[in-house]
Amino acid sequence: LEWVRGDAEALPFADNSVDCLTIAFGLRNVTRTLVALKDINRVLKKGGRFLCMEFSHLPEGPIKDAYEAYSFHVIPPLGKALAGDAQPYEYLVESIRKFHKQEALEELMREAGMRHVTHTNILGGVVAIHSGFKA
Amino acid sequence: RDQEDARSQILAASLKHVHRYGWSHESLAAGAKDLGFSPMMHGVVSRGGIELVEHLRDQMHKEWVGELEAAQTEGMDTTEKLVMACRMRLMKQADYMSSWPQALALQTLPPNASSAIAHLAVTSDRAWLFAGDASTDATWYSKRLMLGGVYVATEVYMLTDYSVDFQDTWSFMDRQMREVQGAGARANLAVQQIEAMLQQALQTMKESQRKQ
Repeated sequence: LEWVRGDAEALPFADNSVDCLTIAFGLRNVTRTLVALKDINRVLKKGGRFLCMEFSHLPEGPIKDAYEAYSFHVIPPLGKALAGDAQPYEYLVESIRKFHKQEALEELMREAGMRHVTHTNILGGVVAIHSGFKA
Repeated sequence: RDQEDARSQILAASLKHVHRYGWSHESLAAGAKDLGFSPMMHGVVSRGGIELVEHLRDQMHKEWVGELEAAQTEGMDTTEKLVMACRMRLMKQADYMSSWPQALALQTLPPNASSAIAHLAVTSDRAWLFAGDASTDATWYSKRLMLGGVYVATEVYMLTDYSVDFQDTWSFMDRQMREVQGAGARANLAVQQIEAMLQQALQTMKESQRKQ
């Protein structure tokens, strides 16, 4: 196993060099999603697969309202009580809210050059796994 | 759409790898590689090996229907025509016999079973059509059910038949057909009796309504 440190928007790998690329709970923290997706597409080989697991969105309704209430009113105080700092947990829930919805992320992936783009919801949409292939 | 094209191309290219890797994503990955894609492209065939089985199944069915339309059946009785039709269909699987147990097993899995049963129903119906069946009563159902049973039993028998040109399989199927005809005649009679009873009941109900 080789460990490499780098920038998701400028990956330190050659073009067309990778069969599969995965990112879990990381894409949300990248400043410019499309830039990262384009670079991911660059390093993939033809037919190579990109898989992303990330927090996503629930459909409108009472479950979503309950989840939001929990996110904004329970998680930060819990973070304060257990980790001594509420701010990272405020960042967490805000970044979740700001991240692209399932279909919007699919569109960005297609814009980056990927095909056969699909997603699967986990827990109704709290988390989503997106999949795409380099054309 | 180009997405459908890629999937179909991969399925077609993967069949030749089934002898080595079975009905699996390994075969699909090998097929994708042949086409110049990364082996990861097997993921485009989202349900994996079963889609490869279904692809071959549909292909065999199409070819078979075309061949039935051109077939000669002079002087053959119904049973002989049914055996001929089923034999023509089953022979198409001969090349894949070493991996066919796996294909059958995949088709019995819950997510795959209903489409496999639907395919069996279509096959049975087409064979009866070939044999000249024009029934419009309840025997339409009993005939197709019976043939479905014989077909499946024959398909399983074929898995371990090593005789020349599968001669033993066709003898087995012929015996099963004739045996089931006897049972079939009795079942048809029972079905017809039930039908008659139901019609009687309906008549009685109509009459009692008119009297009111």
